[in-house]
Amino acid sequence: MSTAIDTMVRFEVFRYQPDWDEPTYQIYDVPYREDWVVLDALNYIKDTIDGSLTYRWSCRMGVCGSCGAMVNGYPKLTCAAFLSEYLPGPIRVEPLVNFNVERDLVTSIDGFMEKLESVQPWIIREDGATDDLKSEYLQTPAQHSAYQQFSMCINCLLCYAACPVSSHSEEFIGPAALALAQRYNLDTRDEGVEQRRDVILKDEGIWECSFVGECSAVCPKHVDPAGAIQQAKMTGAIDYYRRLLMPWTVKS
Amino acid sequence: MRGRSHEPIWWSAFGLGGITAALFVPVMIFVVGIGGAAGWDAVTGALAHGEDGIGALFRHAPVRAVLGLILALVTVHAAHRIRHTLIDLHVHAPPLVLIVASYGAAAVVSALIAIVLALF
Ligand code: SF4
Ligand code: FES
Repeated sequence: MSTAIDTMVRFEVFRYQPDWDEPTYQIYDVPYREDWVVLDALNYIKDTIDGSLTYRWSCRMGVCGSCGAMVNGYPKLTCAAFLSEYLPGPIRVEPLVNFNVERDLVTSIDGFMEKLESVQPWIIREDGATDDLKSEYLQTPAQHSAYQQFSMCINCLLCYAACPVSSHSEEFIGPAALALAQRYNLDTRDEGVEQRRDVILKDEGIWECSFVGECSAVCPKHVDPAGAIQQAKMTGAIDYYRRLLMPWTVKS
Repeated sequence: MRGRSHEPIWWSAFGLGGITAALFVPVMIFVVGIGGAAGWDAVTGALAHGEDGIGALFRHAPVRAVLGLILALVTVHAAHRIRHTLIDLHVHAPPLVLIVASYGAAAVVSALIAIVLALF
């Protein structure tokens, strides 16, 4: 298809400002460009039609993870959602579901940040040697590839918007944070498995997950959080039966 | 450990049922449903000891016991899936009620299957 600047695409954008009583959908007509993504259209709206429209973005190339929104009801990075996929429109843009809205398309991610911190997503050493810059922790390519996929997360939170459990349980640690917990648990340089155990093995940790798998389906980085959670469930179940049947073999 | 979940019990039963469903049920359908119904000698003849038809297969107690076990595991698998689907669909019931209702239903169905197999 050739670039057709005279074609217009209709956008229905979710609008909400803190001093409004009700959210509303605002209609904007945006010229169609073959190489435009939804984020380009939002920028066009903000620059030329309505400067009050508020949304997050930064890299425009699927790296920063800040531009997530519901595009026609599906969680997407707006910088990766080509207008051509939604022709002839209208294209409805809403904030990611399962998060509180602060303003227009901007959601509050405070809850997620707390959950992320609770799984301690960093390398923990019992010898505390992470500060010692002279230390080296070698790893074979096979050891690296065991967790590599889970380390690709950009915290875009599309997986939380897709997750049916996150839609009913505010406490559920959720896909991205659990995938990162698994990423560090699988890292041979890490010794923090015990420290993460309590958070991960709660109901609100891995066990609330009902293995619907939508997190992995929507993930733009192919992190496969559902797979990470399944792995953790297997380890968790073994841990559970070991504590039950052979309590003398476990530390705490 | 504080707040430790007992979900692993249900999850491992679910997993076992899932593996059973994936591995044995297609084989069962193939052997009994297709082979047996079509009267393949390998299926009916091997166990029939002169009797004819698929019914002969089930007159062997071990066959019925294995069949019962497979069906019970698959039933528990289904109950777990249904329980979590209900939660995902925002059915608001106390967790224990859902547990009793879903796995209880699986137990009842399994008991019925056992009775049918025992009376066969
Ligand atoms: S796991 Fe995937 S979908 Fe979830 S936050 Fe990370 S990159 Fe985004
Ligand atoms: S703007 Fe950075 S991921 Fe979309």
